[in-house]
This record gives sequence, structure tokens and C-alpha cells, in this order.
Amino acid sequence: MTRSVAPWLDAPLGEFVRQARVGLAVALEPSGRVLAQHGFTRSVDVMAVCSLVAAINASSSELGRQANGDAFGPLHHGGGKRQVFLAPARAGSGTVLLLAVFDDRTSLGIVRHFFGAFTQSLAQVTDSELANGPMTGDFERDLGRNLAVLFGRA
Amino acid sequence: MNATLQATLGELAALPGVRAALAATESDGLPAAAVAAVDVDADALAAFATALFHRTRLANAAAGYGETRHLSLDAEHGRLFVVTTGDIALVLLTQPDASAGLLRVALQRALRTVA
Repeated sequence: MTRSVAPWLDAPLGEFVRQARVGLAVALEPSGRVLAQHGFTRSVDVMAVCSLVAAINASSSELGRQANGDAFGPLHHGGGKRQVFLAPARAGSGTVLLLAVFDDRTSLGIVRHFFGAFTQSLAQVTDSELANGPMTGDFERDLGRNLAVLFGRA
Repeated sequence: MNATLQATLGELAALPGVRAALAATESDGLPAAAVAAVDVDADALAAFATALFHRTRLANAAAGYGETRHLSLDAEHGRLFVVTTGDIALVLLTQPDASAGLLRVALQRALRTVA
């Protein structure tokens, strides 16, 4: 089940999960603040994943700027049974990071294809919709509240 | 290898009715090389054709039919052919009136060339 604290992410993330057949997905701000998740059962897992994703994105973006002159694009890691796909998408004037974990029920090609549709959906999001989001500027409080909402405790 | 692959795909793409010929990795559905009409999305074709073949392979194995060698799909506006060897899949997208027999022979020959 897809749960979010950002209404403008509900449909795009739900559609991405359904079409790309990924097992786990989380959308977050580059700061690590969670916005939506699918498939996680424990808030502590989401918190840990978001922290790691934010760090990976910051590292690879900086590495890209140093080596490539611009941040690198999507990142894919293949594992024995599961693979991860991590990519940034523009939403209004902001950026949303999407992490998807998938297995052999789908493929990287399929995930990439439907990530394209996800980015197109987010490109339609306006800054006023973004401003209508759950953020107050207090990272810790927002993180705690967002996790509570995502796991039905709020 | 790349020159051979590109030449093989070029020969396949030159057959009557063929709109796209591509090679993709079957496990991740990414195109390795493609010769396609401008309106064909090679990335999407590689992703969906290999996913379809993968599903068909699982279904055939579950049904006890053994290894899947060749997949062909007829639709209202076109035909799709997929063959694999190892992790390489060769995919043809054609017009609906393309000769299935000719294409099948050409695909098997191409598969031996790139294997």
C-alpha cells in the first residue's frame, strides 16, 4: 500500500509501483525527509533508508559535479536477488528522490521506463502544490510526523 | 562484437516489413544495440519485449513445456518476435503483414551469428 504525506505524490508513486512492479519504493527530499513510501512495514526502516539515500545522492551528485561537471543521473545497483534504482526527479522548483527496490518480477528496463512516466507526472506539479506539503522547516519534527502519518500513527 | 551485432541488426532491419531490430540483455531489459524507425522507442521496446519473453519462459516452465526458444506475438497493427541465447535477446518489431516464416529463419540465423 502506498502512503504519503504529499498529496501530489499519491497518484504518481502509486502508478509507478503498480506498473513497474517494484516491491519497495520511497520518495523523499534530498535532505532525507520522507514524503511517501510503499511496501515498508517499519518506520525505522524508512528512516534508515532515507538517511542512506540522502547520503548516497549527495555523494554521487558531488562526485558527478567534480568528474562530469554536473550531477550524475539515475543510479542502479544489482544484487543477487534484489536490485535498487535511485534517481532524482524535478517537482516544481524542487527535487524528489525516488528509491525503488525490485526483484526478478520486473527488470531495470521496465523500472527505468516507468520512472520516465513518474518524472513526467511530477513535472506537472506546481510550486503552490509543493507549498501545500507537510513541511514546516523543522526537520526532526517533520520527519517524526511524516513517519507517523505514513505508518498510521498520526 | 559490437560491429558484428550492428551489422546483424542492420541486415534484420532491412528485411521487408521490419520497423525495428534490436539486441537487449534479457535479464535487465536494456538495449545493447538497435536499428529502428524514428518513431520506435527502442528503450521501451527492449524493456517490454524482454519482460514478455521472461514471463513466457516462466509460464512455459511452470506448464512443463521446457525451455522457451522463440516468442512471436501478433497484434492488430504489428508483430513482435523475440529469440534469446544466453543473456542476449534479439527483438524484431514488424508490420502486421511481414512474413513470419522468413523473419523466424532470419532471427535464428542472426542468433547464431551473435551468440
